[in-house]
Amino acid sequence: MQLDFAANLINMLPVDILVLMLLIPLVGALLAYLLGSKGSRAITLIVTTLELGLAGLLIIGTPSLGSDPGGMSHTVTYLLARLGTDSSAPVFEIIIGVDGISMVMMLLSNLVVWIAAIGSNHIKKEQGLYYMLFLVLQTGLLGVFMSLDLIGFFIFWELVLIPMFFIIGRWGEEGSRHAAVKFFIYTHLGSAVMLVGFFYLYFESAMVNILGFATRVPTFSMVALRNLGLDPWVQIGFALALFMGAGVKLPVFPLHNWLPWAHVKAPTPGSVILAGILLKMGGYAFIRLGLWMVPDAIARLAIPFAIVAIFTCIYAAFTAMAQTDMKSLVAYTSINHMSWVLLGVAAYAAGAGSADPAIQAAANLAIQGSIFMMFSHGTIISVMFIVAGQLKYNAGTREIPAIKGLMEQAPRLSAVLILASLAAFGLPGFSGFIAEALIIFGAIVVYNWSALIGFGIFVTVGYMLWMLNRIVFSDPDPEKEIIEASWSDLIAPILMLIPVIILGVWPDLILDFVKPVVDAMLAGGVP
Amino acid sequence: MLLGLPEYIILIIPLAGSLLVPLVGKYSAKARDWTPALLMGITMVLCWSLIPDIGSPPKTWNWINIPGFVIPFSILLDSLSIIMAVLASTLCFLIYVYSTEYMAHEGDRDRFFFLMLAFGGGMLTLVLSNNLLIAFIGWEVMGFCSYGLIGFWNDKRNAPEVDPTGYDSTNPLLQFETEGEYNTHCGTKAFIVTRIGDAMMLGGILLLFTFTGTFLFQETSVGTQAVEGIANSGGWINLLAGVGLLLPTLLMIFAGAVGKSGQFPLQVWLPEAMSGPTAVSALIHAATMVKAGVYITARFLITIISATGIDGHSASGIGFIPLQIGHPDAFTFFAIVAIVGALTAFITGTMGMVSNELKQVLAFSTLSQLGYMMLAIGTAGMLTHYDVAYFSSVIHVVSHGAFKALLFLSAGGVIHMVHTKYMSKMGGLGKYMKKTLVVMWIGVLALSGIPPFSGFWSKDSIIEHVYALGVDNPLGIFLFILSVAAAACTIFYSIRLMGMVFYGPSEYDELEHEEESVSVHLDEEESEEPHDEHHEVPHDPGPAMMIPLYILAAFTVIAFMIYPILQNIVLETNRDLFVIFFEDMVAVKFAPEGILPFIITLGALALGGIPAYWLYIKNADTPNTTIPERGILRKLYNFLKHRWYINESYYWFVNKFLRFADIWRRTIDEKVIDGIDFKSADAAISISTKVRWFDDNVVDGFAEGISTHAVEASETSQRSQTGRINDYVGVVIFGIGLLVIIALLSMGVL
Repeated sequence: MQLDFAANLINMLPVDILVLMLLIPLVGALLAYLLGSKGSRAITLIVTTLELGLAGLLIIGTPSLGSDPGGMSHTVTYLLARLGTDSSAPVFEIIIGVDGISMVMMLLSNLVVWIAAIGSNHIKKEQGLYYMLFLVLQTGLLGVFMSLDLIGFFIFWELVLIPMFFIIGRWGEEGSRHAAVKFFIYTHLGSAVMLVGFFYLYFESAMVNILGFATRVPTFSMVALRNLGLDPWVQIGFALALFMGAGVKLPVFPLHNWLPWAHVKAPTPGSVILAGILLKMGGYAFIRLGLWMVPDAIARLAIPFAIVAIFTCIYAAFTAMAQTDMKSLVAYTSINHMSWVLLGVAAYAAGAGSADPAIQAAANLAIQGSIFMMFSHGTIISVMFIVAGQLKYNAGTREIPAIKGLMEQAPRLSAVLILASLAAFGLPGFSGFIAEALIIFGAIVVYNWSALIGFGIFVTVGYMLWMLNRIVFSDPDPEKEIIEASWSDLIAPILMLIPVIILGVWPDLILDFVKPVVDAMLAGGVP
Repeated sequence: MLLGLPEYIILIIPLAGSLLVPLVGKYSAKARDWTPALLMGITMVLCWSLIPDIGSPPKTWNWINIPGFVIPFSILLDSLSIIMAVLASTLCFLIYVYSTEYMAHEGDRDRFFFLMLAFGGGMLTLVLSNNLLIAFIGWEVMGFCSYGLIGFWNDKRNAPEVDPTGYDSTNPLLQFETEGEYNTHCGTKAFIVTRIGDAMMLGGILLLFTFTGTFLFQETSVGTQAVEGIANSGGWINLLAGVGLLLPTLLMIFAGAVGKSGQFPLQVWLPEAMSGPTAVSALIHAATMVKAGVYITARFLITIISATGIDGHSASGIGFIPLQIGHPDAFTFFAIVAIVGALTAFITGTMGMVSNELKQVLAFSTLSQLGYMMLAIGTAGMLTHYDVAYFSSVIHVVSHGAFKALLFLSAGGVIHMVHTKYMSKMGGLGKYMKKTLVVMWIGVLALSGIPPFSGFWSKDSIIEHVYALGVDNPLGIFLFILSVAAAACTIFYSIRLMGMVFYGPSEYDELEHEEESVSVHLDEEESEEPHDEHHEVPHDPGPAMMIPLYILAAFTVIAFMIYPILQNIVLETNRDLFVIFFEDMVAVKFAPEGILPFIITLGALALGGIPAYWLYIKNADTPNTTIPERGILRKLYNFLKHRWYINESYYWFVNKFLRFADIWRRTIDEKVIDGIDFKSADAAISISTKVRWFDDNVVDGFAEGISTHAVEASETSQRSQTGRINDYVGVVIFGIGLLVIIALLSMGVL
């Protein structure tokens, strides 16, 4: 979609809109640190609102499939170093640019960060530092989604890690240091393997011939790498490394154990950002670095990926059922939902190369569902985490068996929780349903056994309703008082429910941005 | 016409207006009560203004418009639809005016007037829609509103009034703690019984759609796109008949009409539907609901005749040549319609002769008259000159609508005054309610078919058409006997009703002399309602209730002047009105072909009327002990009192079914199916506990274990940092030696 007035506005900006979006949070971070507890929250709210507005402007003013190489728009290159003096020497550079998928993810990031900023009202300790880290985190997130080269991608990917590590460790609850370290080790280990993969790809991109001479200048540029048409076995090597990096982030079994710890121990806004966007970085990496860049490799790995996805879904659903901590339950729900993204990716990869147009259409559906699932999960799970965090303040505990009769004592909070739970298990009318339906309708055509993931839905519905039964619809415990959440605490979740419901009845609002990119990918990618 | 407004405004005003009723009620109770009357008044004027448009093609608007699948929203403007619309809107208007006074002291009138107005809107939607699907929506709107209105007094806390001659106490399913429960039961019963028909009807409509590809009766066009209707081509009749589905399809649609119009065997809901307020009964019986079934059957009659392309018009007179029209299956269908109608007319007529509840007698009479209408439609379908017989069913709908509304509204006035619904507790009211007595006599005479009141002209012409059929067809003789017998029953229960209510000794006679001594019986009745006025002597109701009665009574008396106009409209002729009156309405009774049925009918009227007059009016003062305790008459009385045991057999069946369902629930559902549910839930929880253990201890434990062991290992290796140079040198030499050995090995030296 491209609206003229928005495109004109973007062109009127003094600097490239993407650079501006990267720089504003950094400036804001500096200001927030200097202002300390006095004005940092205000600065953060202003910056995040501005960023959300810019993301909205970007998405309505930019074509999904742009005119720059690789179907990108607003491409900017920043040269880091040149290994040599002549123009044919290999270069290290940071390239940024966006297409439909990145813009959707950026919109989601800015939305979730904005909601998390609003929901940070319980952070009272060292506000300046907190909000500084918060805004640096935002820069990192946006950078990941707009990077078009592996160096930049890796820099931003790691940039996300550090502020998150401190947010979990310093502002989390009892035991958060352990969780932070665990989070750091898992993700960093995954990233390290991924980095090896990046360099492997870099060297392979020189296309050394039989005689041992490089035929090309090696490159980190994603567009160049995609257009190169690498040997499938090289691609598979890279894809396995990618699986380690992105698989930890997504996460998939058995790389998921950092997630419950980090989510449970992190402060509520931290959990929201973790679940809302950090996991999407994994999904995005699968799509951008996997499907978009090395489609042949993912196509060959599709069956194991799909099996891992389905197993993760059911496994996480069962684990969630046995949790007693509300936040743990939501964390495992996150794992459960993100495995759908991987299934959609696998189904797309397997179906995209098919000559049968019906299977191609199914693949198209599955990948659209994956992207939609990332967006919808980002919104739904944010609400769930905010409510779960709110329980601690209002009921004094997050232990599910200890909270009783929420409906009678805190009807407002209950209403939000009920809506979020219904959305989370995919009730029609909420965005979660559309996402699951798109993925399963697509996947089932490609692999009919992927219908097994339906069992995951079944268990999800079961534990969600059971949780509601125990918390919301039980008889109140006269000895324990539950305070109703104040409206200021409920602003953030209620705002976040709006896209959940709108997308449930009008999914094309997001899908329209994604479709051209997916169609181009299906058509062979090279424009 | 219609002052340039689109025709669908007629449906919009009552349907959308009904939603306004509760809103108006927030501001003014009085304005709210008059809102339905006002809106229906406007609608009535609009309906009347449609009369000049009769015969013009349907007006059409877009409803569903997918390329290749067009279902337009279309309004019929033929004589049947407009006569029904005028009748329904006018009667609704009069009844709504009446309700403003009748309901003035009841609670929760928001609900009442909302449902009443929506009810009228539903009927107008049904009769005006050219689209069977939209007609069905109106049909269901009525079903829902009838459910809400019959059970309107669902919160009455007093115990239900016991019929002094009733048998209900023997039925375990009919024991109710409060009157509210009884009312709710009646509403539910009406809804369920009519739903049985509705479900079949929907099936029939969809079956018809499957074979014709259209929901429309008459051909029309949306923009430039033509949409065909079933009335314009007969191909579907042969198509359906070819696969043997014509009769089933028509019968399934007719089943809906049987349910709504209370035809045999689904007539059981209507007598109980009397538990609602009287205005509701009048609305259901006179203008809406029960007429819906007659309308849809008549609509299918003219649609089928139009589709087969047979010119059934006759210039005048009565069609005396029976001949099957269209397809043989269509003929069978109309024969079934006629048989059902005649059976209903007779069976319910006999039931009415023994009923003790004032409104229930009227309900049975409605059923009986509806049977006549169905009989006329069925007969029309079997006659060559179908249109005259069809016309007599139309005028019977009109005349019955008027006199039945009149009877119900005056009965409502009586019940309103004496606070009992049983006739055996009334009696002698004639001297207190003189105006009511007069209008009710007019209604009763019309109902019985005494000339020159409206009912005579319509009912007698039906009987004559049936006789005409009987000249050639033995089926006609059977139908003729039933219809004449039903006429005898009708006049018997009509006069019985008048005698029991208005003649004989009155309980109020003493009251007039001693104001204080209120009879015990009345005390019981009024324990719930402490209005002082109820202790007074009964009197005629106020103007809002009486004026509609005068209007209806006037119509009933002068109906013979209006029928010729209707005949010109329906038969699409342009003859002189006096000629029609003298030739078709009067002279035909004395013509050779009409004199025999006329005399037989008069004989039947005398057979029913004279004993009734002798028993209930002449000897009204003597106690009613004519029927001996034993013997054939008592047996017959019990048989009729139990309504031919039809109602009770349904209850027996429902009771058995409920018991079976209960056994199923206790033995199968709770033990087996619920057991599976609970077991699987337990299994899920125990699996999930194990999976969680696995996740915490194995998957996570592995990672944590590695880190713990790594720390331990580093601590162990720390001990090797001894700080003594000798140790380090030793290790270095050992390492170099190892490397050298490996190098030598790899070079193949060793």
